[in-house]
Amino acid sequence: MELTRALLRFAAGRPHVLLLEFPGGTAARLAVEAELRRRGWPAAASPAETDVLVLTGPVGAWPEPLLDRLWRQVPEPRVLVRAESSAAVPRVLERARRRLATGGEARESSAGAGGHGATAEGQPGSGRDDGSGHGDGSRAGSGPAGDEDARGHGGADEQGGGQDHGHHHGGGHGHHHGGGAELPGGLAMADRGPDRDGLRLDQLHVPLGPLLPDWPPGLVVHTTLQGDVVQRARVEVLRADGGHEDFWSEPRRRAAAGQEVSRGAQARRRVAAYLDGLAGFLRVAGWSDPAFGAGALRDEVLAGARVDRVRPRLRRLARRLRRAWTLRRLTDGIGVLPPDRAEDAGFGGPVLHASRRGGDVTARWRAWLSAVERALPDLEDTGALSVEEALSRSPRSGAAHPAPVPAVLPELLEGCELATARLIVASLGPEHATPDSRSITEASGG
Amino acid sequence: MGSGFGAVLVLLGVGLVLAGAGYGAARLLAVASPAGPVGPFLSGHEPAEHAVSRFHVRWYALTLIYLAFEMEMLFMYPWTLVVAAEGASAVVEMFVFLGILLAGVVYAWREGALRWS
Amino acid sequence: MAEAPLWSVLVLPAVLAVVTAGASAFDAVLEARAAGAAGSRARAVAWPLREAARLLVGQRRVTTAADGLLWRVGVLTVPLAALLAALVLPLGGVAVADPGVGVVWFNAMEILSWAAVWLAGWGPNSALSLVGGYRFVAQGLAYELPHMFALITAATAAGTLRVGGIVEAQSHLWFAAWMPVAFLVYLLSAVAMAFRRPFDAPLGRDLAGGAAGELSGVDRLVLLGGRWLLLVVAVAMSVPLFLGGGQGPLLPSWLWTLVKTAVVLAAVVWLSRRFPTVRMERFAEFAWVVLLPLTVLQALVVSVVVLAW
Repeated sequence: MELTRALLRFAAGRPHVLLLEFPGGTAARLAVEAELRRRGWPAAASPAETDVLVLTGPVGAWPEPLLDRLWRQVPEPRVLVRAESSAAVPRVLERARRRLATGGEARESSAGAGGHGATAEGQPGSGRDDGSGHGDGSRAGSGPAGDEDARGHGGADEQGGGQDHGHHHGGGHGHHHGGGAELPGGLAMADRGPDRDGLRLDQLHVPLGPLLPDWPPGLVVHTTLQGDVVQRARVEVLRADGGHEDFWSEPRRRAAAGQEVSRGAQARRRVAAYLDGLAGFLRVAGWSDPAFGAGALRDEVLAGARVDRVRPRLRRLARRLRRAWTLRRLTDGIGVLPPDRAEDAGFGGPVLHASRRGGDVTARWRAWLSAVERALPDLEDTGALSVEEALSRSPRSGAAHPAPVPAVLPELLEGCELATARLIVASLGPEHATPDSRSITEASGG
Repeated sequence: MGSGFGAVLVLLGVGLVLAGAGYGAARLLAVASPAGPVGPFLSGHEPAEHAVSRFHVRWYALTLIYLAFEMEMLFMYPWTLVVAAEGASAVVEMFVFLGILLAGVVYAWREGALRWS
Repeated sequence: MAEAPLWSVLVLPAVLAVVTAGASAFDAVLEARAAGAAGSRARAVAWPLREAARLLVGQRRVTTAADGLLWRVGVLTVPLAALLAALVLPLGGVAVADPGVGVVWFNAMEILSWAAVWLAGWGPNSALSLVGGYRFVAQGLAYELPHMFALITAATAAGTLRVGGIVEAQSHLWFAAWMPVAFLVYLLSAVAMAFRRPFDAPLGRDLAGGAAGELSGVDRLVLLGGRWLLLVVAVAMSVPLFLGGGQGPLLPSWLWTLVKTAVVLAAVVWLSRRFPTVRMERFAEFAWVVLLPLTVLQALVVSVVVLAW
């Protein structure tokens, strides 16, 4: 229909973008965020809202079944792109817009088909090898992913004609569940369990991550909810095949390896990490305007902006946040991480600092602000970063766990409300969320 | 139009027609017929059970205080019409009643019913 | 106040649509400014239109074992409740209807949003949506009583529940001038009722869209458009209740109504971007311990003044 085509072109001027980062995709994610800000495109919160699904970082085999499922949830018109390097991002997004303007991708091409001509950036599920076993015991237990092998790889759930069948479509009455009850959708009803107040209440199993916007890449928290209270949290870390290099510690790593790195470059990366944490935290807290501000500052710092250009805007942002009594009121007293626990888990920098000043979410976002302010003069330090400094500054030196965030999450999240849980995860920042490099073990608890 | 409630029906009709027109337009214009059934968004995972369940409502105590006030509101709407005519006694009675309810709120507050994080 | 002829029921949605488009365009411009989006701010004005087009051509979706009926009823109730509440909204000296219980009618319609959002959250059989729906119920428990006291305060001062009568009672002094607490609490609760930011926790990003998280296509358009409509209607009602309706010098009264509505709406939209999302487990306490006694006190002061007059 001519009118539909015209509306598609018009609507493609501002598509909603679901941005998902995979371990190792930080640089590309930052580039995508900057480009979205520049274009004024909104960040989608769920697949239903999505027009363009952007994946950053090396997408290994493990996310494939998850990605397939998520992609099926995205309504048409839709486009999937991968942003592998930050340089390619503007081009990739522009191409996505153009494809969207002409109707995006047809539904049947979502997975399996592989070589979708226009999709130079690749697609999920192009190689449908059984990739579900990569996630460090991820499929163990009765988690929500428990029975996916039975269907995710059936291959028969993709049919033509624009009719997509979800896994549990209405026609198939409970064919997978041993109970045999004729429950709609083949799903069991919620079961009851004891809660923190000594009641027996319905429980829902809601995994948070890995394919969740504003969430640390590769992190999964399998929550057991009663109402909106996290009764139990089991943490799992999914990794990219072959490991990846952490973006935020890159200058330090290079210096430790004997390469010449200036102190300024290292300080920039560190400041940017704090600002990135702040921006992500503010997005989760539902305060988009200062989140934009923190993101813009972060990108300028990384791009090498001069200190005297950054400083006044940072001061405005810091003043705005510190004066925001609503924000303080919303984050006071939640997610308290005592100093000894922070140290044990291997936290350094602002998180450790904050743990000595109350240790709640408020203390952590305030610690980011002060850390950025303190580090600001160092941005233009051209002195070389010595190997010793690089090693000693590593927040993980002597750490008991390779990734501090997964280690402390179960104890922080249990008993929390869902919104609080999201804020706590966001307040621990981008630096400590995923294991660095190749040393990966699963941290779990609960 | 008298009491005006004839207009209510007409307005409701207009609203329904407009909504119907929106849905009709979308049916003609949409690039594809409705998708699904697709699974609920759970960060890419499958649901383990139906989400519809008996929800743990932690503000349960609050709903009860709310109901007490809501009943009071039923009296207060007609009260606004007669307060000028009835004089001081109407005001005194109403606000003594409200004062009692507020004392209940203070009690609930001290018991921690207004905070559930 | 006069009741308009019946054809005004066709004018009302048109006027509301224009004001709603204007308000959302203003919000889009603020968003573009905050993001530092390149290109002219003027381009942001078209964002709401692009959004509407996007959702019209977008595919709808059904979730597994969804309660389709309740879901759609919930979605549709949001704009319908807003439209029905607007029945008593006067434009200048005329409203579609001006019944003797106009304030009660308004209150009854807007409170339908409780059911609407909860149903929209329950319908899709999705855990995050469900949590979003329940969040709005908790939100209602927090904002509704101060809201009703604000309404009642205005009605008490005028001695009538007829919206036209309330406007006439302000011919000397706007109610906003001598009952500021009621006015401010009213605006606050209007935003909470319309679950717009900062009271957007039911649709929060932390819940991946919450009660609207599984909606796409025209369903999403109806819910989110209805949400804007609800905000516009609730905020516009503050003009007859507290700002003297269409009263003012020189300009015709319908224009005064529009000007006042636009000013209040712009202030509300601008202010609402200046706060993070308010969570009820922290706000309910404030609403009950601070806002509620304040509005009761305001009602007491007003009724004493009414007696002494």
